[in-house]
Amino acid sequence: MLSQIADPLTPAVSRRDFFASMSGGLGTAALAGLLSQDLYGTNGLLAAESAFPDQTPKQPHFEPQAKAVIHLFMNGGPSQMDLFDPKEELTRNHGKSYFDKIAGEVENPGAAGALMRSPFRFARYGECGMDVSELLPHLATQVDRISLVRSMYTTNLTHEPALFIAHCGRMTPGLPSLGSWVTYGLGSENQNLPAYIVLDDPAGLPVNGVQNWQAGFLPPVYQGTRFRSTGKPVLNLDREYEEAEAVVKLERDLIGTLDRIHRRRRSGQPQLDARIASYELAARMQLAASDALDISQETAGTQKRYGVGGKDTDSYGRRCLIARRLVERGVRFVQLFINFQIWDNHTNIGTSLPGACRKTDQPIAALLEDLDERGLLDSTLLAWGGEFGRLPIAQLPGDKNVLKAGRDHNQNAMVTWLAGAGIKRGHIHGTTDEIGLKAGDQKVTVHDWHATVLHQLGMHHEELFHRRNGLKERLTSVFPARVIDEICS
Amino acid sequence: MVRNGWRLKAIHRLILTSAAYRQSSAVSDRQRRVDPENYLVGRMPLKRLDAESLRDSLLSVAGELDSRHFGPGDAVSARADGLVTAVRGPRGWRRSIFLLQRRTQISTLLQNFDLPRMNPNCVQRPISNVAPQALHLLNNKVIRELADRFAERVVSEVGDDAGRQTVRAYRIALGRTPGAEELAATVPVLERLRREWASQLKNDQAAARRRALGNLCHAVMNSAAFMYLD
Repeated sequence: MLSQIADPLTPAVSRRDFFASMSGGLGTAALAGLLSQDLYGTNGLLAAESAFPDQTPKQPHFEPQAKAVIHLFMNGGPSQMDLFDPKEELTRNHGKSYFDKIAGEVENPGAAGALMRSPFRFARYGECGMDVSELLPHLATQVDRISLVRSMYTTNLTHEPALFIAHCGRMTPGLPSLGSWVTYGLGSENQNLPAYIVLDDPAGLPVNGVQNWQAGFLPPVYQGTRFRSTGKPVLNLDREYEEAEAVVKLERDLIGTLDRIHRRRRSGQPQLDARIASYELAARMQLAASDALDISQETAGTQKRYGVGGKDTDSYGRRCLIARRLVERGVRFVQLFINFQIWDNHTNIGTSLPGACRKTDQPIAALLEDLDERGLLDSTLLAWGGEFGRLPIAQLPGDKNVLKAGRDHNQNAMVTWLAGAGIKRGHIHGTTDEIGLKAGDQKVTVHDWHATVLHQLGMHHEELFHRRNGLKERLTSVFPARVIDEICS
Repeated sequence: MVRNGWRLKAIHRLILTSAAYRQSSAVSDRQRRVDPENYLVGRMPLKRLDAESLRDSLLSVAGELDSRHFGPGDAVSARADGLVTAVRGPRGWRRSIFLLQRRTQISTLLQNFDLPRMNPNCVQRPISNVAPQALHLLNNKVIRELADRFAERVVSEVGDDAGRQTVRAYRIALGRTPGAEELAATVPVLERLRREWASQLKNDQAAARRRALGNLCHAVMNSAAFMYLD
């Protein structure tokens, strides 16, 4: 956007211009060091300020650990006390009324029941001795590769706003998503595939739909591009009619020429740059994407390991395998979604939560192990988690049958894990209170989590910004955010 | 609105005929300096056609738009690879608003261009700008065939002259004559396309001219000028 040019708060000579002119004359390492904060800041702006925002690689602020991110988003709010955070107090006090103490934290008070123990067994796994529920037998074998964060919380207990917080940092729609910020800051190593690829579920979009991967006020070239994981991953990738290459080239070049004439007469319209870029990318993608998405190139053993062909695991397994193939090719940000919200276990948690785990457990464990075996885990950040956690009390169905109980939303405690790219292996961060209602020690906000993802990619969350309406807009906005140093090795 | 008996028509007319609404989207240096975000409504925002307008426009320029109203919606069919397309009726395709909307089978073209999902409320339409849109308009067979229909229409109206064909294609698709620069960029390409096709079609000049014009029409349908409203 060109807002910074006319920003009334910006002097006629910008600081960036000033430093650019200064560095020519003085150009000493000491000065660069002294001014580094400002120089970092200008880095963040370069992508947007260039006449043609693109996805060519940009310099991070400092030496990065991660080259790529795979975000495994668990829409619905996975239950912390049934997966990673066993609570003896809940077992001990099962059936005791607790609603009076937390009435204000319950989304559906009419359905609130008593404290409810987890119906699932836990055991400790790995050298780190991490508690994992029986529902995640495959991940249990991988716990020495991840850092578990038990003490995260969010600030909204309704799906739509909580999703916006998780993806964009604030609860209102229309803001750039994490993946957009990352690709805005860093571009991509691969110019033949989109920098930010979304593998959504062929069974349907998540809550908030395509808004989960929008670029908001960032140049539109940084929004996520959806690839499909069944049928053809990208429809219309191949020409559906016969035409000689020479003819096709003449026509494509004509479109390019006409678009540039059109663009030249319309200055200050960044969407036209994005549109030209998307046409150019489309042409390159025809070759690169066919190769990247062809999982038949993988051995039968690898496919089986990810659960490709499995009854429950096929869909998510394909997406995990494609995700690995994409980061192998230098795609910066890959995001996996599941249809609607399988982790939203309001009722029948005894059957609905195992179902969600069966779909995802084996593929995710395979992805962790496979990335590590290929030496990719050291440069790929894996992030698992949803938009909030769940309550320690039961949520009862209409007939009040406790056997069909589930758990309602909980904004005060949620569980998430990170792995790879400089994240400690086999580590547990933070606690919740005795019943898992609230984050306890070493609380982590969603903004801390965002700052940590950016940090592993070599960016400082305060220095990755975009000027808009006189504000330096950031992913973490004005919220205090700190990198979760304790989980970084 | 109260004075007009709460009728929306009057307020629509007031908005649509206002000076503010009828502005162009061109950004002058002064506007960029003083009001980059267009808070003062000093210009029209540049708008990409929404999904329905784009599809209807493609059908319209190809002469394939069946403008009849009412009745049951047009059927869609889903291909094995997941592509969902509208089924052509006896008089062409009807406007997108008359296309059957099934939650599980949404027209791929409309979906690619941000048709909102039908189940939740849509308070604001997102406008995306991603490669699958380009891939659809470039590679999809139905779109390519619409370009050939468009070409036939141009030939029937102005004959074989490359210059006149170019001008006519612009007038039909964009409602204006091409600028000198556009004309100079387009006509030589049309002539090269004709030569290319002639060599492939063993010098069947008539067929070569038709195919070449199909490419030109396809390019115009794919152009930013077609997709964006000034």
